[in-house]
Amino acid sequence: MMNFRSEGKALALAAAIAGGVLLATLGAATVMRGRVQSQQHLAARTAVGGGSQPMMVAAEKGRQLFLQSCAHCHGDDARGDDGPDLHNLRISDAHVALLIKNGIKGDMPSFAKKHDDADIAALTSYLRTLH
Amino acid sequence: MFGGDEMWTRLHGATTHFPIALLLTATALETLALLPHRAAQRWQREWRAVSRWLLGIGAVSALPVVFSGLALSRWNAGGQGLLWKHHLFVWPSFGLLIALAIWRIAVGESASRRSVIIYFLMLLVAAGCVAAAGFWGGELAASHG
Repeated sequence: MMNFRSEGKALALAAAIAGGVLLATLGAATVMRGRVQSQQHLAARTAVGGGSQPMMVAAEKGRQLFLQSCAHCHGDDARGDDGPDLHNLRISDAHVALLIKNGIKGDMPSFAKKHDDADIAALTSYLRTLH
Repeated sequence: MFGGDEMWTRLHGATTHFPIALLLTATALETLALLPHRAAQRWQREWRAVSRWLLGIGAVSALPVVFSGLALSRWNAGGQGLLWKHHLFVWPSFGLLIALAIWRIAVGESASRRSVIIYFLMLLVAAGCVAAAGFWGGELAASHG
């Protein structure tokens, strides 16, 4: 076992290693996070790019609306936070629109007053790009 | 949870309890070593030695927990809502766990009483942080099903 005569040296060593590990972890996470987000963005663009120009515009508008109204519960990347992950939704567009309009009692507020049908269609278009 | 990353969910769930249990047990043993009762004093060296190594193993076992947790949250070290609350306590407890383990193992039994008291107080802070991180992690897991 190491036996440091000076507690100060041991403290400096401990602080340096712990700080280094923490910084390296958070730094690596930040780098990886950036990569994941750019991959997601590329995937979304590719998915939307397969459709028509109006679809791309709608999905982009939907993304902006999502960031304004939904991201604080579902996360900026829609991977879920307080609310669930919204990738690969297996419900119909009509069902998505209904949930956004009416909300879910006790879980999610209604957005009927905040967003009209065009907004909800844009949001749905955006959600369909999430795989 | 988080898009159905089954492997990271399972790995995080499987590994996360080790550092929590080891840190809390190390804190409990360090508390025993500080008790003035004669029976506790008789075993003081042993309590401290076991506590020291539990803390060291706890620090090492925290590495896969942190890695799997970050992978599970798509490398999001901050987040929002429950994830933010979880991370708010995860990072201080992770840093403290590593620092305290290294310091304790490096000084061995040669630490002064004053240093041991400060170490013990920091250990209590780390134990509180890890308990809070575990609580919010549990809430997060429950809310995502």
